[in-house]
Amino acid sequence: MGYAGGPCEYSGFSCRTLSSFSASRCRPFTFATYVDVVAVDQALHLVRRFTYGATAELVAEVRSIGALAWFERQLEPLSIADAECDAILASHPSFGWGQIRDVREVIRVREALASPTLPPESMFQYAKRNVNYVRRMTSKRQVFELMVEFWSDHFNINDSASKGGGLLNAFGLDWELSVIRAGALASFGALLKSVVYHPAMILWLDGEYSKKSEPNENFARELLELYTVTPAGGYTQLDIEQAARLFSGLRGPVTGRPLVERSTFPTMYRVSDQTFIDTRQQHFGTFRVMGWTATAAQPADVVKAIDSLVAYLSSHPSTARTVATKLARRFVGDSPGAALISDLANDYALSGGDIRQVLRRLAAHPEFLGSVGRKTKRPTEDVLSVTRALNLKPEPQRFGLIGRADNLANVNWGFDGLHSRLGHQHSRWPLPDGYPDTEDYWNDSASHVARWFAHQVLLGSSASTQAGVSNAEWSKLLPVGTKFAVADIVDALTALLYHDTLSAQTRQIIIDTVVRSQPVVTTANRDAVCRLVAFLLVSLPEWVQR
Amino acid sequence: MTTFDATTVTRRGFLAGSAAVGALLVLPSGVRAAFSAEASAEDTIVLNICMRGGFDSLAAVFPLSSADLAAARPSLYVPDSVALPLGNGWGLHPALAPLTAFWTARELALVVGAGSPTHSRSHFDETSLMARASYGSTTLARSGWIARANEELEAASALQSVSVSSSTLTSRNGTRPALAVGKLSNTKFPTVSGLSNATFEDFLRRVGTSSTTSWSNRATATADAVRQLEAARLRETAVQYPATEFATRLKDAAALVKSNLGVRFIDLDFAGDFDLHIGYGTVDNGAMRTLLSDLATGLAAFRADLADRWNNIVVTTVTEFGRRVSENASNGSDHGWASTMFVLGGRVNGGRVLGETPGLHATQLVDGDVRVTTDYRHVLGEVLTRAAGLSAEAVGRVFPRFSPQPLGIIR
Repeated sequence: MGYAGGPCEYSGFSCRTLSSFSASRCRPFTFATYVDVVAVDQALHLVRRFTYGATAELVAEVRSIGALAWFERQLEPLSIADAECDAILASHPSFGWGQIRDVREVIRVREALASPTLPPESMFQYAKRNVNYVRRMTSKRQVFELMVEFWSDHFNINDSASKGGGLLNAFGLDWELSVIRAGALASFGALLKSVVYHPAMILWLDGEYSKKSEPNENFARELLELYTVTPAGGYTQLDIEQAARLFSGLRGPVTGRPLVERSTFPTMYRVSDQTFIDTRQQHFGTFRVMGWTATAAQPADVVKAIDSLVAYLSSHPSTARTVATKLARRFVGDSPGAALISDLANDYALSGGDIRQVLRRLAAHPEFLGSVGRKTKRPTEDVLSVTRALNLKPEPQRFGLIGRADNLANVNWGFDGLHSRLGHQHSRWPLPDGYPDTEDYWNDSASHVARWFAHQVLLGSSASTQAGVSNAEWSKLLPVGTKFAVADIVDALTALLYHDTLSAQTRQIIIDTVVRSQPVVTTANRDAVCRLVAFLLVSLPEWVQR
Repeated sequence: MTTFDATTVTRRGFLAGSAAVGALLVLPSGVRAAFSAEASAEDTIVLNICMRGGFDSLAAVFPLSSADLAAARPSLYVPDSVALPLGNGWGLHPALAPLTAFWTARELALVVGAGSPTHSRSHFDETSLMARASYGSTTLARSGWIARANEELEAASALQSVSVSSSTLTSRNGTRPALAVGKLSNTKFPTVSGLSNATFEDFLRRVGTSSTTSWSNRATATADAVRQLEAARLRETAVQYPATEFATRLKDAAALVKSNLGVRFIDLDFAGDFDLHIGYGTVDNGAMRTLLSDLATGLAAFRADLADRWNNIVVTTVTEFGRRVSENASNGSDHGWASTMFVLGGRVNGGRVLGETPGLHATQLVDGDVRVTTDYRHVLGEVLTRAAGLSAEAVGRVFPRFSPQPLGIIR
């Protein structure tokens, strides 16, 4: 697997550092550059890293059209028809509750559906999480969905927090659609700009409570510390204070309970339908942040200054490294190498922060290709890869994906309940830094016990009849003609779950264990044997490898 | 109280060497006297509670009649009329009333002006630094301080260090990280198609032997622990705990202690976010009052549940930082520096406010924050030596490049 020379050879000269970069010598990276470097056997690696779990159909598709061609298509998600996922999301009104854009409509529906047993805010967050799980489970736009999760972590908002008298919950729905989903494969600068002005972020990091006399520093601090340059960028407390002054007047479109429209206040300057500047609380003057400077004498100047600061931070070399490092950690390994990070940061810089360019480079990078089996599934990837491999669809009531949390008798076995027990519900990490992305965080005993439980539920071995694989389904999952023998069932389910074979030793351990519990396979216990074989297969350390 | 009692420090060594022939018979008389004061021969357990979000100690423990506080915190100030006087010029928030019994029994020491040597006001930096307790080096220790303290003990039990909240850094990593159990009630083996616990354990062991990874190692250790934890999971208590998440965690901690599993360190997060820039509430109601009430009622139930084992435990609280002295424009509090540590237990030399009383006048503050006058590692260092039985050299390895000075907190 050599890296044959191209216009911008991987191991070559100039792409590593910006200073020696020359546009004429080194064009932005394209797949054509490495067109023949990814062998067909990389298909499975790419599918494991860039989807929520390999399915037989998907592996066949990638092998057929070629790994890089498949990846390139994934980078244009709107070009991919998604009828199955769309149909599921259209099948029940509760999925709609999770996708209401207008905050006033959220409040109206919330009041119409209010229940004495459930905080009405929870219902929308529950629906929003379920929409995400359905998409991860069934969408054909898998890379896009992974990037939605990636940015949800990078710009984490815990919209279950009862901020703003429940308004954060309402804004959180549009946040997901207008910021995270709209920007998941865009340029980082465009994404960051939508982040800065969105009412959910303004509320989450206390911008709503910022005052001219006392600018709240929370958003300014996280903007520098987490979202862009990080402490490696070398900013100071003074930079934070200056940025906080610049953002001091930013406000969302409504406030209070009942809702008060900001547009009715003469002191509110309209930036967009979603964003206003409270001219009484806005600082004016000259702002200096890490070598950037701008002067604003009136609200329109403040908007220009914010746009300019966003552009400055987005194109900062430290931000390029931040994004490069996080993408490398997400898709390559817990401790990505320096060369990979600088290559990705270089592509970030060359492309003006185009995330797709960075992903193209990453997916064809030798460090990515050499990283097979070296990244551990986080809980959501673990449970989703079980459902995807076993073709478990979100049918009515299965996994508690539809309806209201308070209408379900027991949501512990529901998909959101499992994510809760696993500590990995969508958009529920309590801090602005997002769920950790290294194995050491997730590899603790509580996590192992929770995965045993989740696997047991998904494979249909809990008391609940509304989740997991039913007896009838087990029969359909096995290829026609599979013998009533433990070894044959092990081989069939290994192929289904792994799309690969296991070592002879591991295979034997599974067979021995099954025989100890279920010595003979008959029509009466074949489903139980299938369930046990599958449970053991997903209890292997190989299963958590992405 | 300024020098360590050598007999206490070496007690574990004596016990380990003499267990087979009966500890008391072979010990020198001086040593025997040293631990005849204890209720049982059990080792002392350290329970560390992390108060996440930045604990506003100025609302919890404060000098009474402080004109500086009254001026800086018009809406958060706890007036003398409702404060619970401690009898030494200090007062407690009224929601901490259940703690006055600890104070009167001299089982609660308060270390004021405590905190981290760094002053970044960043949750992420300070939480991480405080969990690792490693400063002044370009390479931070990867392990938490409890994980390193655990490495210094003889490895008597896989359950020697347990984390009751799965997100704590303090006892993670290192060669002997904590067993994270999350909730005890969930800590069970799977039930699948007649797979017995023993067969499943055997399966994990064989798999772990054939391909050893960090994941397979943790899987076998988990199975081992789940088996051992069954007694604690099934334990019933007559004590009524409040219906809070924090109390549930303490109830699990008490079950671990009382099940005699060889637990020496318990690491848990307070369940609640002290980061109250907004929505702080007032003295009489709101978020801060609820949090303080959860803290005090939970600890009171825990103490009742432990009964005589209370003498074998030292509870410490840490937080990444305290809050700024002046309230903010939203009647909340912003990130500051020093806070107060609570140290509780039957062996605590309590009923005292320790540490240097930090000045609260604007001119005595650092950038508006209370100055840290007692590094939190002094407190933890004393607890590790005098209560957990680590040697001074061992504590030197737990807190690299730092020399803990005892404050006389542990009897």
